[in-house]
Amino acid sequence: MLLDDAVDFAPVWPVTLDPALEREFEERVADSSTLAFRVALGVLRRREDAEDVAQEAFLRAHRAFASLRDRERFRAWLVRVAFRLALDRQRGDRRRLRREDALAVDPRAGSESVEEAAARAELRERVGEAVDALPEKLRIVTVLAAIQEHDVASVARLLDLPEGTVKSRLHRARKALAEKLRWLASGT
Amino acid sequence: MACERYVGALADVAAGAPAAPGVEAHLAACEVCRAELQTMRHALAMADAEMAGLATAEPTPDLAVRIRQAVARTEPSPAWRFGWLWPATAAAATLLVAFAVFLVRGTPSAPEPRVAVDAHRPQSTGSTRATGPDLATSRSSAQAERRGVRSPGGSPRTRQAGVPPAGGTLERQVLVPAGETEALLRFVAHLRTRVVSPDSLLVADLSAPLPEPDGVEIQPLVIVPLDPAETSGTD
Repeated sequence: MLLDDAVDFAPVWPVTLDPALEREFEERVADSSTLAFRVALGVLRRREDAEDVAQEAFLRAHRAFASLRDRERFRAWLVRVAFRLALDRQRGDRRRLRREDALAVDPRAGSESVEEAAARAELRERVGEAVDALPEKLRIVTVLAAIQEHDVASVARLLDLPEGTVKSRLHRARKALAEKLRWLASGT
Repeated sequence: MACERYVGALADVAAGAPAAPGVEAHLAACEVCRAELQTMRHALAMADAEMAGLATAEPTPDLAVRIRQAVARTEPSPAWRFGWLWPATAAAATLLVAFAVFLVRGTPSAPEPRVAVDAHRPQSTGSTRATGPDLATSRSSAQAERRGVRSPGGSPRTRQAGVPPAGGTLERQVLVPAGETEALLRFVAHLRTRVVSPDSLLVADLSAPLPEPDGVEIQPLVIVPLDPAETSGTD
């Protein structure tokens, strides 16, 4: 889907950066586009949509880049914008909530039966719904913790929050997930 | 089913918090809650496994290229900086035209009925609208009518419709029967505020005789004497 079709996104006004800034921006694209993609994928769980959101986030980043030259600051800003854009897209188009087998690289793919594959898809669906139901503050911490492989310090840097705050939110999120998903685990 | 009061504490422990002494003692004694704790830990492990794919998910190789192209497409053209002038000018012109149309059409073009309430009062010409003094006169006439004051000729405060005033042209006029002046004034007020259109005034043929009601019989009133014993109200 083209970004122009997304009616819930505000227009991005074009700006011109000087050549040095353009070069820096190119470097940011190279080292942070995957991060933006993963954040959006954690919310949307569809690759195409996640890439669109990453692209949109960088368009906005380009506009504000003059004040975002610091690398850590840029990544924190990018994470927030990508998360917000992904939430907007998810809310604006509920019909596109079909899940894609995109999150986990499944080593069993090809060897599992149809029933096992259906059960896995169901599990993925339920886990996604449980994460979606978390409050936004807990949700972004959960997504980033998965992206950063539960490195609390990295998550804290990306969110520009104290580590204690990240730990507390992550614990609350996991507690909520445990309560929501226990029935699912009891059936396996 | 785990003990309900420990569900929250079990979720805390499953999420990684140390078990409080009371919870630990309960877990040691309650097999069901131990199983529930295991279930919660298993649920979190499944969620972690599902989310783990995020750490290694890779976009398509051309994402960075697409981003660069999208940024390049939004680079401002030389005409962009003043490109907003045209839409702004068009919007201002549209607003001006709309305002002018509003001013022109805001004045009612359709003639409104004139209220004639006093046969002896000279009528103005050249305007088909009920003017302020006309209304004031009408109001004072209505007040006088409510007080029982009659016109000098002793007739109701009405005048014949369709009679052109001296030296003037025939105006649209309304015959106001005695006692209905006030209702008509309210109608004129509605016209002025455009709540109703002039066409909504129904004109009756006043020269036609009133239809006789048929089939209506009025029974003579029968007065039944009251029985004092039934209406005394005392036991």
